Amino acid sequence: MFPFQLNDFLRLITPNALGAVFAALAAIFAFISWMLLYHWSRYGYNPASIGRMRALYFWGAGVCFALMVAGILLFES
Amino acid sequence: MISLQPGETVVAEVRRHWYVLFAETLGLFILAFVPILMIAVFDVFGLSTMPNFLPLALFVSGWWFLAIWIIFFIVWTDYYLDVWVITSKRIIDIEQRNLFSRSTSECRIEKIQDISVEVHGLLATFLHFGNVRVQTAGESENFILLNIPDPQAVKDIIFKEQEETAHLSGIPIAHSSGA
Repeated sequence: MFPFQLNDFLRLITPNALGAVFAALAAIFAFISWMLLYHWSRYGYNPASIGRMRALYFWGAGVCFALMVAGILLFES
Repeated sequence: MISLQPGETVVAEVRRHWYVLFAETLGLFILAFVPILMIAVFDVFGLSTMPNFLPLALFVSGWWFLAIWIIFFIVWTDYYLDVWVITSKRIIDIEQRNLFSRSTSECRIEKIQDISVEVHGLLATFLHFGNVRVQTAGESENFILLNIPDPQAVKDIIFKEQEETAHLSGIPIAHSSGA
């Protein structure tokens, strides 16, 4: 029973479906990033440390997105 | 940002101790290992040989790490924007409860009556953090600086500023302090 259900689920996963999920995540990420950047620039007290954290934030997010892109590119339909 | 009055200077900016941020994000750090654990579990049950396992693992891991990364920065923003600013004339308490809830209150240095320092617990003792309670004159609410590093030094800074303010204005100060 379990492998049958898993296979059914796996059949739904296509590169296009992964791409749609990726796009939705990118949109959510863009909105949250905008909120965070707004708070940092509006209320931040130390521009130097804010700049370092901003760079770290986007670097880490870039690594996460690279993992997702690699997953989509390696996916064989 | 804080708008300072003429002749006012920022003496100190005090945030909560780094331990507070560490304690709040320790769970996130542990959660970051979930994808690795899941891959190991899938491998044990022989599911890692199914087609497209690696691409899916990469995709889901990327999504998981991104979620943790964003949550960490939301927690850090709350930590970073929660600050007490001690100026030559005021103590400003800026409290960031969450991204869309923020309150700012202040008390004038000359209104301060008592300052007490509290250090509770083993970690607070060894990591040198604690609370500073600032009691003000009148009906205004008291200030509590929670889990700040080196509370004794902060108390000394406030006293010093109070004495300088009193010296400049010629008003004698009468207060007591507990440590």
